[in-house]
Amino acid sequence: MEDKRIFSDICGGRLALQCRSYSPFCREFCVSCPRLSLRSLTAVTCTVWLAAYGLFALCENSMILSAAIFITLLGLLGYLHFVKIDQETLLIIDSLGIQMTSSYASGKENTTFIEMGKVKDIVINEAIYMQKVIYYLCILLKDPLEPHNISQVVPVFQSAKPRLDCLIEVYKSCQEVLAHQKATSTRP
Amino acid sequence: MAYRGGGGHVKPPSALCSSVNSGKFSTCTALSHNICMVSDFFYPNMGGVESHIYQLSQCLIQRGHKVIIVTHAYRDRKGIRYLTNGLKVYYLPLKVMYNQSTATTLFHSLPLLRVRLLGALEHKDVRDVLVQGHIFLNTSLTEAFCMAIVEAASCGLQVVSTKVGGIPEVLPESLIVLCEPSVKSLCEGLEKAIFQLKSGTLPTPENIHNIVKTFYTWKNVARRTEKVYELVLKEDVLSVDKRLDRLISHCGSVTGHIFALLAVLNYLFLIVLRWITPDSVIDVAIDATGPRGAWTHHCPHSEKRGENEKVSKTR
Repeated sequence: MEDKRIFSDICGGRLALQCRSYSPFCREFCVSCPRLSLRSLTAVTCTVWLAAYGLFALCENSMILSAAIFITLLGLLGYLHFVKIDQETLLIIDSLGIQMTSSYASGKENTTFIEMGKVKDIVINEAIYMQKVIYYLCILLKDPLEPHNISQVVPVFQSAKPRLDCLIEVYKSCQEVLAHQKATSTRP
Repeated sequence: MAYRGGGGHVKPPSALCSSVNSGKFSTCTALSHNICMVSDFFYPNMGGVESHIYQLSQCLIQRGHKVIIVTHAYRDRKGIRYLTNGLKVYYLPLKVMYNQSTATTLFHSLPLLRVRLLGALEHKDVRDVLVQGHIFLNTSLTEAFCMAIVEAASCGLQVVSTKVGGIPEVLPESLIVLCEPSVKSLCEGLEKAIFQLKSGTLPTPENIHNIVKTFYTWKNVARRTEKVYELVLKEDVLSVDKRLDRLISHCGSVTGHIFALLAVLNYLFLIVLRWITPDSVIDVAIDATGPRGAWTHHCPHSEKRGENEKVSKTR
């Protein structure tokens, strides 16, 4: 079963949440951000090149223009490979664990896996972010020595930063899986 | 620590009821307010203001109001925390300009007295130390409420204190000798208290204790605070131009114009922030306390305010 809905991020930008249910207790949530817009790319490129042209007019050194082109290209490649995340995926499997994947614009992927035994809970928390308070979804990990304590808080969808309505959808679905997992693990 | 389930979406009854925990008594009030306490002084810092804000907030939550606290971060304690009964505290990551934990205190060696420095005391030991004396000397240069003089008076001591901050409003004139914050004035005040003690004109410690114990109960303070909020709500909200006029007319010709300029700059800054982050992209927080509170219980709608004041038992 697949369900795609449009939400917004904390800045008002469009986000697409794709929910795939492979089985009642294996679900995948995929948050897609808008791809790099031609308008913003053009704006940045023009700004850098205008600044370079201004420096060239002062110094009369053509190396500045060459360097500006080179810096723009390198900057764009670096941005696409290390910064711009197009898609973030959360895969939750009842008896196995939680896998988080970040897909960069260049095609590079980062994957983190947390086994279910380490997961204490999934909650929506608040954080102070710049001049505002935002909500974020996070996974609470059990302390290996003190199972009642929390050893770590792992934020989910860190790049996309969806708003509360989107997070509640994911939260409710994750809680259903976690509730089933807890019920089966405590059963004799 | 976090939003769990749909507790925040409950339809609010006009008369609401909240309890500290199940099995205890709860209080109902007809009018519920959204209250934000803003203070530089809050836990983990310790003191009278910190304790006052916390206790008052807890009592207001019990009376069915939504309460949040805004303070600055204390070392690692930053972000949003929840305290007892869902009291939400925003520890803002702001730079502290001076040390919040220490009030500037006047230290002066009085040669006639033998002084023993006890250092920090456990709260349970305070009474045993205080009852050893007859006079409590408070030499604060800055003070908000000063819980220490209430504790001293409650232990039956005559209080001699500097006349700063909220101290003159804490105890009646019969129980306190107020002095200017200078060595000369403090010495005179202390001599006056010693003379009263020797001449036997001071009330007995038992009498002082019996008077003081009726002054402050947190439930009483919460009720009085509620009345203040209700009076403020009845007042008209002034427009920006009227506020500026009031600043200029009330604060003097030079200072008034400076304040008005700062107010205009603040207003423009708010407009810029609203342009950067419009209201439409700000998520409305889930209520932890108050009528829609995820942490609080609800009681059935009651028509009369008199009924709301009654204490009802919850399961």
